[in-house]
Amino acid sequence: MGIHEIRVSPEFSDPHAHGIERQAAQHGVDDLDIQTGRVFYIEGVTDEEAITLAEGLLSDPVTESYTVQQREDWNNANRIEVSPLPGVTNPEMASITYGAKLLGISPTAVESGTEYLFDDGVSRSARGSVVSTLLVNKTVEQVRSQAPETLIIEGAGGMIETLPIRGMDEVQLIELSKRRKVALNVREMGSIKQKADAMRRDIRDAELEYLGAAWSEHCCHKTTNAPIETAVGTKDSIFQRIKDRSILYFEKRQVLSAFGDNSGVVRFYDGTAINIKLETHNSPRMVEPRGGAATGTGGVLRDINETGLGARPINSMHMDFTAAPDINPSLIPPNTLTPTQLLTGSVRGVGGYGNPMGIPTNNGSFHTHPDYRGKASILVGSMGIMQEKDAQKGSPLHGDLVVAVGGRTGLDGIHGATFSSESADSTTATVHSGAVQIGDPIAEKKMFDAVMEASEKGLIRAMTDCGAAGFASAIGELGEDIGVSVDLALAPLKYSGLQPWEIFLSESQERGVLAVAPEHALEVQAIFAKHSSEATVLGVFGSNGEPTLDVRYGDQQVIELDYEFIKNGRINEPLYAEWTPPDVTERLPVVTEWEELLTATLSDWNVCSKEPIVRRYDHEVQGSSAMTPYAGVNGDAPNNAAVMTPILGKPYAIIQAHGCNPRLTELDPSRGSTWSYVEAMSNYVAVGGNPDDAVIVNNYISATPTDRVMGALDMSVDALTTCVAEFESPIISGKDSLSSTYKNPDGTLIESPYNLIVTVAGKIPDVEETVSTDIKKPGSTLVLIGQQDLESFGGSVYYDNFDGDSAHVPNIDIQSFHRTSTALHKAIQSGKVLAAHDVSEGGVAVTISEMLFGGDCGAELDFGDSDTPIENIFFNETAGCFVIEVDDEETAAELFGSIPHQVIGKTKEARRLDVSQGDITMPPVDLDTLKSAWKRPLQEVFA
Amino acid sequence: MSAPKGLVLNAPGINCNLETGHALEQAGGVADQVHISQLRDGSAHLDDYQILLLSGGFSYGDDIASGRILGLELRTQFAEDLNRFVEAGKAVVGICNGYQVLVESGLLPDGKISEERGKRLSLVSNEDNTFECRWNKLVVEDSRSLLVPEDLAGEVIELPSAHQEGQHATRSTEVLDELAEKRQVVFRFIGADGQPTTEYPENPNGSYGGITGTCDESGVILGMMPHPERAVRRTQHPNWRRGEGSNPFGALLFKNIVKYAKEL
Repeated sequence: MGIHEIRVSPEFSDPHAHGIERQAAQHGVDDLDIQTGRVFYIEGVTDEEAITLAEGLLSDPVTESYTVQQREDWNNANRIEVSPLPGVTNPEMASITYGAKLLGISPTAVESGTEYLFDDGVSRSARGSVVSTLLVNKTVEQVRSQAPETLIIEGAGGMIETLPIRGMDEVQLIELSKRRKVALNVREMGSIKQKADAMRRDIRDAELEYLGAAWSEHCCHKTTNAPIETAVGTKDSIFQRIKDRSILYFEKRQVLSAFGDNSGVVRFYDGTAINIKLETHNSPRMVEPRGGAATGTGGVLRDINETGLGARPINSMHMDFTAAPDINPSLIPPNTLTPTQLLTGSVRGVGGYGNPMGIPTNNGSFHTHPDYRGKASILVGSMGIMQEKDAQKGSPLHGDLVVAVGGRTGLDGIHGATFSSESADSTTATVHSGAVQIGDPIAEKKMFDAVMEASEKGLIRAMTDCGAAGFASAIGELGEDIGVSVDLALAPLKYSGLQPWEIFLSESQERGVLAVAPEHALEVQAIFAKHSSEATVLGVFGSNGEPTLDVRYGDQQVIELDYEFIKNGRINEPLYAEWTPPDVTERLPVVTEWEELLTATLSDWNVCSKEPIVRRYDHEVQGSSAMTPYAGVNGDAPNNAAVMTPILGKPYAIIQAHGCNPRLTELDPSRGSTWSYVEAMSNYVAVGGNPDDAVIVNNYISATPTDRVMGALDMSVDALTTCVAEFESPIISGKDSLSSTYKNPDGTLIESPYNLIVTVAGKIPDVEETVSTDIKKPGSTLVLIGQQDLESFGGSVYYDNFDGDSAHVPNIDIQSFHRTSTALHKAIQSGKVLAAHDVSEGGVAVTISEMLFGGDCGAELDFGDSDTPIENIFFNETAGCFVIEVDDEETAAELFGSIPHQVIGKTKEARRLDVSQGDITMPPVDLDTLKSAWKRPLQEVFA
Repeated sequence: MSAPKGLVLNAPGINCNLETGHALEQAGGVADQVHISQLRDGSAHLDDYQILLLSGGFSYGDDIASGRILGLELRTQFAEDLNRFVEAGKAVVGICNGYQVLVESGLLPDGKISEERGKRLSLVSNEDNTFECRWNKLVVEDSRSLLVPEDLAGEVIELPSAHQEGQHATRSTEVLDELAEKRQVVFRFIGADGQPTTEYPENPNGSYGGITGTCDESGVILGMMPHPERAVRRTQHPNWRRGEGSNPFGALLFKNIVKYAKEL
């Protein structure tokens, strides 16, 4: 029967083609004329069945036409056919097979792709550029040059290689580490060699691969667990310091679980709990932005789902860090994607995962810095809701079954754990293409639904998700206390031909591992079947004697290692930390026309509207939204935080916000980190969050550790734990990502800026006690609260845009900020605050402008007599300051008394910003001028 | 009669089933979450219900086309049950992906599943080919729908939309004009001037005549792209702090569905 080719094309409008034409114009290819169509290859059906499939399943009689015939014009260069590389996840294949089954047809294999027909008038170079930049991602897709002969992937599996490590010298050990891409250093390889000597046998490929993963930076966080030697003596590891400080406040803030599980858990209301986690996915995203961002999101959602005995994700977050989209292209290193490709691809990835999962993506941000041009960062996160009784991480008992759940295992993402711990260079895109996974959100949704049903019925003893290093990390970790035995030959595979070590290390997405008591196994399998997902018994927990990781493939031994060695075979060597401040020549900015100061600030990448991103995310699914990211009169003014009522019908709200500013943390890791914390807390408090009921998540992103990077981390953690102590706000989850260094072909490095992202979450009993940023009415009073540090402008948008330079990052008095936060919280509870917005990038100028956008109105501001230039007041970026709207001056005095506050003006109907300082009056600026400057940058990127 | 029973269908990729069930319960109905595999294996029966809710999501990943696979599954596996359900005058509501499924199955606009596919309406990619999530203004048309409160005809309401394939496509716009003439058009997006619009962003998908919801001739099947289940409480409105959204349309719609089903 061979393979039938079914081609489906739109008969009328072709929005997909129009989308490509618009994108092409952005890439400098104007007047592109292109048509699109779908291609389906169906193997093992009759001619008649192929027509039935074309008519009844694959085409739409209203809008499309189809053909069932072999393509002959394979030499037609204007006709480009793109399909996933064999073995790359293509979720559509399962749906096509299922749809065929509904029509009574059983193909042996199917494939789907897309074809593009360029108009003859399109030049060869334009076509080539569109194909390579917009239509094909060569890491996961191919341009077909002929019809496939078969779609069935198969190969010989089950092979185990023994590595003669006992006879190797140091050079050979390092060669072996490189050849197997396990990223182990010579000491770690030496430790394995010693172990082999002690065991009197060489080691097997899977054993080395497993240790490479288990000892990777990604999995065991060598750097943050290492003691730190500084000029003032040896200090505890970063992780230890965070833990020791945070644990003091666990009881007070009702923390139920922290540090030991996939996410941190804190009590909510009515016997429920909230869990939270954020994680980077930098390396995969650099190679394939869409896939990397999607699987990053999928991974963090699994961490939420598979915490304790099961949680339901309630939101998704996306923070992005790239070079400016308008960076001079010649500055971008070879084989590296542009900021626009990284950002737009990632937005498609995050939305393409969260939207189908039905999880609202409602918090995020976008930041630029030139040093992200080599290696950019993406941070994704999620919160979940669970029953309080399920908050603790479970422990398998002897005899419990090892149950693999969710999707099947393929060759996806082999070496993700070690890959993500290495620096990027110009060969990254090709050498590591195997390390990219493609996500299937529906597979994950099915798995989550089944996990939650099994959890509600009390059938799960313990669980974890398959993230980096797949089964190896999940099974390895669940078995660490009592040992575990599994047979990898039982694992369901996507196709044959995988070697045992590949099955164990594969990072195929949407999988998890449960520990299930034997008497519950059948019921668990039935629940997964009900949700069209799989649950397969791979083995049993518990070792006779010392806890051992015992992995077999049928009757062959694959891994046999004792946990004593796995856990203690490598030691955390101390790291030296010495911060050296950046070399900055202090320089005042060149002050220009008032209107230009304002519009340039509002259109800065770090300030401009992010609405084009947010609209692509379903931020309202689940019906829990109580504050949309953008609102106000025209629905286009930003809010400060995500506010949700996750128990439908109850007023209980969870508030989540974040803060970070890589420009500041890079200049001064101490003050910058305080700024990050204060910015997060300000966003949270400004909407009504209770500063005395907050928990923190910390995420560190840095260049590959050097003495200087360690110095930054050391200072950053000291600053953060000081803030944590002041607010008694424990850190309950966090992650480090310390490999953001790009190596140029000439050996020089581009180190990404040091960055601390602080996320804050907390509950309030009544969602009514929250406030948005939009001005509510004309004639009300605007008040600036908090203490600006008017001496410090280092890293500010103002200095950056107007040729100033300074190393002085705003200094924030954390105790004073705490008092301000408490006062603002009480003021919001009183109902007398009509609108509130914090001050951050771009300063009061941006805070006020965004509030006016929301109210679609104007303001008349007077900063009174002062020696400080008005520009310094208006563009200063001291976090922890707020602008609020209240009825009148008396209310302001009543609410803020001794708290630093200054009445700065009144709102008015005329849509105009009037600013004066005593006798000095700045030219009025029209609201629409401000707004269009603020909206334009990302509108153009996402046109 | 006691509270009418609603079957909230779950299937791979459906993801608005919980809040849709909640909206029904808040309106006084009973909402049972039923997975399509339970209908397949006979552990749940459509006949036991007065209301069928096809909620939003990405059923079967919206692979091939939105709602295609689940629509085909309803057509090929449950045609008889569904036709009987509709003939009994029971309420069927498809929201967003559920609407796409109704259209793929043939239940909309035809009111029943016929042997021949005979498709004349499709919900295709938004005009700008992107997913869009925002609140919009709609006008409630004077339609045949028995599920939409009668007294709201001509009123302007607000609902959130979140979809990438919501554009109504037909081989000729006459098909849509004819639906309008037969009073089968239930909702239209409107612009600032109060008139139906095809313009972005007031109409996120570019549908002809702003059409964003239809019903069958008997009025018991309702399909709509916007999400009424996300508008059942004041605090879901983006501008509730400005005093807006105090009479959310979703709450009115679900109450009316319950009232209708109670009388069956």
